[in-house]
Formats: sequence, C-alpha cells, structure tokens
Amino acid sequence: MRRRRVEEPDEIQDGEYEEEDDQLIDDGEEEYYEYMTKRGNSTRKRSRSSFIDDAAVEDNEEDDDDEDYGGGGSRSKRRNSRRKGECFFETQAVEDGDEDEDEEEEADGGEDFIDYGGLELPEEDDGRRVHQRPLHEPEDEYEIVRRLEERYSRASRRESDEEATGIGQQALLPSVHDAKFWRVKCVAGREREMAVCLMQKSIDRGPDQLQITSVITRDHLENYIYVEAHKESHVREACKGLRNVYFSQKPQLVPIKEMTDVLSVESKEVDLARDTWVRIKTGIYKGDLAKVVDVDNVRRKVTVKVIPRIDMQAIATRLEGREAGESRKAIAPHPRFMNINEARELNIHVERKRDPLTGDYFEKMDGKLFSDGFLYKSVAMKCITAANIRPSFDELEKFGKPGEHCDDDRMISLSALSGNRKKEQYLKGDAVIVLKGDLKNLKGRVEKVEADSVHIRPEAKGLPRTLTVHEKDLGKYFEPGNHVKVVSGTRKGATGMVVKVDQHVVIILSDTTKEHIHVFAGDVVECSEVASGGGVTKIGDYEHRDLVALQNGGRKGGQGGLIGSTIKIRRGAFKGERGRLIGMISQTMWRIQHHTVILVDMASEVRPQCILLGLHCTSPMGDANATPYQFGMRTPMHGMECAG
Amino acid sequence: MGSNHNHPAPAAQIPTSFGHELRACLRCRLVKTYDQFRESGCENCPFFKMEEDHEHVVDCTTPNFNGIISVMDPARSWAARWLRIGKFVPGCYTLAVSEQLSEDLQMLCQEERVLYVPPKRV
Repeated sequence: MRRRRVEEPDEIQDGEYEEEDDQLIDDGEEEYYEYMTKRGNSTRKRSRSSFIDDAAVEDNEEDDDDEDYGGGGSRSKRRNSRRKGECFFETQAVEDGDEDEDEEEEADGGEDFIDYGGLELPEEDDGRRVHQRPLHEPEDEYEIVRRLEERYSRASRRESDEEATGIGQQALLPSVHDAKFWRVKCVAGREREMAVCLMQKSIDRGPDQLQITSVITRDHLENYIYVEAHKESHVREACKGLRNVYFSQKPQLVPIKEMTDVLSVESKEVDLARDTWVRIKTGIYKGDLAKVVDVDNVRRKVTVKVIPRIDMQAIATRLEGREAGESRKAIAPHPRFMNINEARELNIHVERKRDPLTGDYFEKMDGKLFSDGFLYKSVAMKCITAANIRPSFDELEKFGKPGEHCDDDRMISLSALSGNRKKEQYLKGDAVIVLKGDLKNLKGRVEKVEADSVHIRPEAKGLPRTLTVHEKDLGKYFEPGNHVKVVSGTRKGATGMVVKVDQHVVIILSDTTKEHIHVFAGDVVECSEVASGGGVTKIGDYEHRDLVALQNGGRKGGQGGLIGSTIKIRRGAFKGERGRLIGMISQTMWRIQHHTVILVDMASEVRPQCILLGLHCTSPMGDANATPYQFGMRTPMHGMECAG
Repeated sequence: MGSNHNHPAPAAQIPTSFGHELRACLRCRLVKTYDQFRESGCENCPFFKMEEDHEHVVDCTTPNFNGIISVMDPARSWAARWLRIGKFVPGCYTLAVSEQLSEDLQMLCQEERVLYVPPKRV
C-alpha cells in the first residue's frame, strides 16, 4: 500500500516514501512486499533501468505537476509519482505494482518467467485482488488518511510498550496529568475486602461510571487504602455506601513524589516464601534456624519448622498434675529431634492429625504439632528475620537429615540447603566452576570481579578469552589434592587437603587433627600454608608460648590445676563427651574445648558440680585433686600447646 | 491513538474470598482463588491452560504475594502503567510476587510472544 500525501513538498515526500516503505515491512505487510517481489523478480531487471531514466527526466516536471494538482489527483498522475519516488530506492520490486496493472491486461505476463507451481497461484490471485482493488476505485483522501492513521497508531502503540520496558521506570513516573492517590481511612483488617468491593462496584455500574481508576492496599499498612482518582469528590462518590470506609478523616492527597513509594515492595517482604531459612527472634527458640513452611499474609504469620526444644519430663509431670519444681526453666532445653514414642512412654497424650491442605500427618502433643522429628510452629512475621541468614554447616547438617546418616544424601541436601547463603567473595585467580545455565560445568579462573558479575578465563579451548558470568551462577571449585585453608565459618583457620568436592560442599583432610571436615566452598581458599597447632594459637588473652601465672592453683577442688586437662562430662546434654578445659570464666562457668573445636560455653549444661562428681581426668597422675605442680603433670601452658 | 474508542475488555473474575486460597498468576499477577483459576484459567494468560489441569494452577500461580491493587481502568490508571499491567483486563492484581516462572513456562511465554518480567530482587 503506497499512498502519498500529494500536498507535501518533494523533499519530504522522498523521506516519507522511505518511512512508508520501512513501515510496510514492519507492519507485516511483508507478504504484500514479498508478493510484489515474486511478481517483480522476473521483470525487475528489465524495468529498473528504464524507470531510473524516467525518473531523472521527469523530476522537474513532477514539481510543477504537484503544485498544479494539489489534493486528490488523478490515478494516472499518482501512478507517475509513485514510479518517480520509488525508483530511487532499493525496493525496486515495489515499483512493479505499476506494471501489474499493465500486465493484468496481458494475462499472466510476468508469470511466464517463473513457474510458481499450482499452490502459489491462488495465493497470488488473492493478493492481487486485495491489493489491486484500491487502484481501480477512486480513492477518497479521507480513506488514505484513515488507513495511515491506523497503521501508524498500531506501530506507535507497540513501540511504546517496548520503549517502556527498555527505558525502564524513569519514563513512567507520574505527571500532573495523571490521576492522584488519595489515602482513605477504613476499618482495620478490611482493606483487601474494600479493594475487592470497589472492583465489584465498578463492574456492576459499568465502564466509566465509578470515576476511580484503581484502589491499592498494602499488607503492612492497616487502616488505609489508596484510591486513584482525579478528584476527591470522585473518591467520596465511589465509596458511598461502603460501611467499612469512612471519611471522618479527610482523604489525604499523596504528593507526586511519594506516589511510587505507595507501589513499591521491599524485596524482603516478599522473600518469605516457602522453604526460606529464617531465624526466630523471640521465645525459647530465639536465634534458632527455622525453615518456612507456610506464609499467611493476611494474618501476618508464618508456619516454620524448627528442631524442638522439649523437656518431656516437665510436660509429663505437669500433665500428671504434679507441680513441677520450677514452673519455667530459665534455660531452654537442648534442641533435639522429637521422638514421639518417648512421649508415649511417659504417658503423654499424643494425637495423630491430618492437615487438610497438604495432606501431611502430624502428631499433636501438648498442643504442639510435630512431624518427622521437627516442631511446626506458627509465629508472627515480626518474630522472624529472613535477612542475611547464613546457616552454619552444622545447623544445616542437623536440619538435613533428622536421625539418618547417609553420607551421599547428606551431601546433596546440604548443597541444596546452602542456597540461601550470602554472596561469596571471589578473588582474582580463584578456580571456579559454572553451576547454572548453558555454561554449566565449565571450569575457569577468576580474572576480574564486579558488583554482580565475574569475569572468568575458561579452561576450555575454543572459547573467548574471558567470559562474564553472574556471580550467583558461579561457585568455587577445588580439585581433590588441592591444599586449602578455611577462611570463615566455624572452622576458620584450619588447613588441609581436599578429598572430595560436591557442589557447594568440600571435604578436607585437616593437617592438624587428621580428620575429615566439611566446609562450604565459599569459606575456603587455595593456600599452601599449613596451620600449626590445630590453627588455634590464641584463646582469649593467651597466645601460644605466653608466660602465664596460674590462678586458683592449689587445692580448691583442684580446679586451677584442671585447666588444660581432658575431662569427661557426666551430666547434661553433653553427657559422655570429652573435652579439654581451657579456661574458667568464673567458679561456675567453664569453657571447654570440644573436639569439634567449638568453644563451648554452656554453663547450664556443664555445671562444675556435675563434672567434679564424676570427674575422670586423663592426666598422667590420674588424680583430680593432686597439686598441679608435679613433674610431668600438664600445666596450662603445656596443655595449650598441645591443644591441637 | 484510537484506543479510547475501543470497548473495554470484560473484567476478570473478582476473588470470592480473602484467605489462603488466594493466588496470583506469576506472569500477569492477576489475583483470584485457586478454584477460580481452576475453573476459568487466567484471563490474561490463556496459554497457561489452567482450566485444563490443576497442576498448571500450582505451577503458574503462587500464594506468596504482597499488596493488592484493584484496577478498574487499566488504560487510564497511572498505577497500572507503572506496574506494567496497563495492558491487561480490569481486575484485582498484586504488587509483587515472590517466585519466578519455571524455565519451561518462561519458554512458553517466549513462544507465545508474550512479555514476562521476573520479579526484581533488590
């Protein structure tokens, strides 16, 4: 479809032709264009030179013609002009439209040259019929204008879509011409209901009756809804008859600069999805890691699963009617997976329930729900923190498999569980592997680190020298045999040789303790340094080879002399464990180095009385009350040195 | 633009309740109940074919969303334009969803030549 605006000067006309031709292609009138090329192929060469010459000759003549003829113009004139303009452009095929007219009379003139086959002929006929029609009928100016408007409006609409996505939000900021936001008071808890009510009302009344364009509610903002309208009167009119919306307080106009804030959502608000790791902020589970199982935005609560801290004995005594010695213990029971049979043995009532929504089975005991060893509890969103949760290896380990110890499964589940971790820090030269996307399993070395993306030099041949990968698709890579050092986490300071790697988890043979330790790949760097003394050369104020004066030395329970000695714990949660006493904070609080190198500071669990009662000291003397100043006896200094 | 002369598209179904059953379409963020999606699918995303298989409802919608916006007139609403739902039918939408469409479904969107914008992470 090539129509020109006859009234406009030549220079612009040429430009327009170009535009039009481009539009032709963009608008999907490709088929017409293709049709024309098909038709025109045969005749293109023949016609081209002749038309070019024609155009050159006709140029000046055309100017006069234009001025004379003004609007409308005869069909033949149009034909000439068309010929004139189009021949300047590559789309010579389009020109052949002229020839079609001629060739029509010649009955399939152009088709002699090319055999299109039976299938194509009918198509061409249709095309010809459809597109040739305008040539035969006298065209109204208004028709032309209308068709052009249609064509351009379609194009501009599509462009604005793409532009908006491309340019981003900047282009969409509110202007003074847009409707305003009015903040309206309503009954607490009914905000969503009101938004939906107004929607229903708008549908019932019909289009453009309710002069409001949208209603917004925010989960965290009770008592208010935002109504988008040009005038306050429209807001009042729309809310007439709604019991839960009231105007005792005047609707507040939201300033233009704050309009986008009304609609913005903090990513952390939405982060509380199922399976996210959170930490509980209050109650006996304070600080404990938990996993979100269900989110209820309406009541602002989440259901989480957490390792139970249950004191069965206390529950049993309470239920039996006997008064417990201390109604509420100051210290929370140690986290332990729930064994429902224990409860049954103690004659505590256990009920088996089925959740109608998920179909899962739960055991209900003492008003709490348990499943698979975990406690499922409902907490308010305010009591949960989801930001920057960095579950330690041990926490994840515990969570992964309650009770079972299948190594492979554990490794896999741990890798998956570590998904919530904070960003890993990459250094230039780190060996990395791509974890996701098309380049999965590609190994390389870090060349450059940017905010979100990392440039790596891949090992594979045939690839460009550096590739850019998003940092979340990347993970550190270690080959078995690498010597590494742990730089963060609970095992910080340890060094060793990599034995096995599985996605995010690396197993290292520690240089000092000769045991296998599991760490996250993000906490490890390649390093040839070998840790000495188990990596712990400094505890509190004391460092390796410091000269110290013994305190509490002598007889008093022999406690002073115990520092550095191995003790066995006889009561409490760590019953049966061995550790080395490395310090005393006070007479009743001791610090014991457990073999997993956690500096355990659990006064509640390890009361000195418990230890002294069943003290088993593995010092050479074998006598807890012996004075420490005997030859061969371990002294704190000596003990510290061998603390590894 | 002649858009003002067009008749407005029929509105989507309005959610019939406000509790747990509410879900939001992961592409267009339309909010309805699970049953409503199961019955009549998503008015903006018919290619998801939620009315055919209840699994599709679970894959294409989520109960984790934040904030509700009722859009009566998407063409004229600034809020709808800002949220990029101005081209959808009138109805109740959410401001943000927590999850992304699965890769398969993202491919489906590409094949159907419809726009999908994953939720932004700050």
